[in-house]
Amino acid sequence: MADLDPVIHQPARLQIMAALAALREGDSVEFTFLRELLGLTDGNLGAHLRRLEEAGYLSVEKTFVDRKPRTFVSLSVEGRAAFKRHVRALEAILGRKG
Amino acid sequence: MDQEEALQSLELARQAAAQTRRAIARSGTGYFFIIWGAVWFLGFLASQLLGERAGYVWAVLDTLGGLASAVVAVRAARRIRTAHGWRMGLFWLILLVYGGLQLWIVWPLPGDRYMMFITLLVSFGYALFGMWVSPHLMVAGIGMAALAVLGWLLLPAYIGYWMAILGGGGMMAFGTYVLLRWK
Repeated sequence: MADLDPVIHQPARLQIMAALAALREGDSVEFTFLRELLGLTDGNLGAHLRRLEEAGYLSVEKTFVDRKPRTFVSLSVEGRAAFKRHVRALEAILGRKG
Repeated sequence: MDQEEALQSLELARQAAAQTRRAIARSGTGYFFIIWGAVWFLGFLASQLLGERAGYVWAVLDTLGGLASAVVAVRAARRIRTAHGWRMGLFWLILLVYGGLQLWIVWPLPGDRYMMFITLLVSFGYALFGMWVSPHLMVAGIGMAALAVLGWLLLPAYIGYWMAILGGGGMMAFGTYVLLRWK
């Protein structure tokens, strides 16, 4: 049985991963989109994104839009696989008896 | 972790995913439906009242609708990037070209049949596009086509009013609903 991923397990990071997993491959969302979607502060979201990026689960692109710095985030291939494993591990817990 | 905690985690993930899909759909879908609903409302009214002269009205409305849609798309792209954007644009361009070629072959068409042709072409586009992008768009496309066919069968002499109110009005109502409720 697969183990729960300690990086993804934290509730805010789980939400971040789930939100990004809902995107199609190749699609990404801007930092403020995630912040407003999940109701996190800049600092809080930034810290969680760094943690996920360090784990290799995110692709982060910093760019300029209308001359303003913007950060776009998406799941890496490894991140998608890790999220699926984590969800399967959660489902396996539900499938346990007693 | 016990089963209760696992269930809560899965529900948290499910809600985050659902919120994301709604937010993405809201950022474009709502505005697009309002824009093109307004175009259809005014265009079909013009077709009913002005007959063949409505072609000029449609040309202006479609141009304005296209410009407004481009503004919405550019604004949405500031927060959501898609690797499929060019394919989406190409899809509609190809549909437009095929539709234009078909019209050229079957021309001339009476005004009411021309209205139905354009309506069913656009509905077909939404239905196919929706299969790829969003089930809501697919349902909207099928719904529009069904509405058009029903109006053609029941009130052919008033198809313009029918499509203006139910088609255009319906699209504007749906777009407004998306903007207000999909948060």
